[in-house]
Amino acid sequence: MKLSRVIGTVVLSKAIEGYRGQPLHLIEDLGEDLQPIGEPEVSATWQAMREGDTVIVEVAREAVNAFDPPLAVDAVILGKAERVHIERAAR
Amino acid sequence: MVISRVKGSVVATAKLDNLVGKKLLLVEIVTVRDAGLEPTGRHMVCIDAVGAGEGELVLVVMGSSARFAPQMADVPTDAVIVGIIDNMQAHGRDLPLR
Repeated sequence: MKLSRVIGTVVLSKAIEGYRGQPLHLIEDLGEDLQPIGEPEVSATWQAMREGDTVIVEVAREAVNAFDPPLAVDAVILGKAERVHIERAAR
Repeated sequence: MVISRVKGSVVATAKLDNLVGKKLLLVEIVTVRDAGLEPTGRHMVCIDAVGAGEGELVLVVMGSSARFAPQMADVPTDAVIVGIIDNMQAHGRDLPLR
């Protein structure tokens, strides 16, 4: 799983079965300093989030299992992170 | 999932039986920048599960997850178009799709 931030939403005009009513978010990954890294991607979610929320995201084949019946997704938001504590190693 | 734009189609007459009847599309992955959507120059071949057309912006599921799309369980694929994008918002504003 990884930490990401919600930066937007995606709405589909046509989709495969199972996607109807499924919120989709644009997310970007966060680095150690909680700053965005890499390219934004689209993620399904267990419930709609708000822009700016920090979230826990499951990616790849395992994301399918967040839904019953399984849904063809390769990224899904599993939860909203309230706090992130980063232990800084002594240098 | 990745956002892509349909650039064209791919025709293969000699192919695995499991691919017979599947529409193959050539797409270019696009990314989201502050100014809007930007092509990446990275292309790939996808199976179309929604009837997408050239120029449309689509949502592509990658990897093993792609085989969970309808009628894909026995298809050796790692990229399936699962939706056509109608609109997108990022950083509080609508993104122009063209």
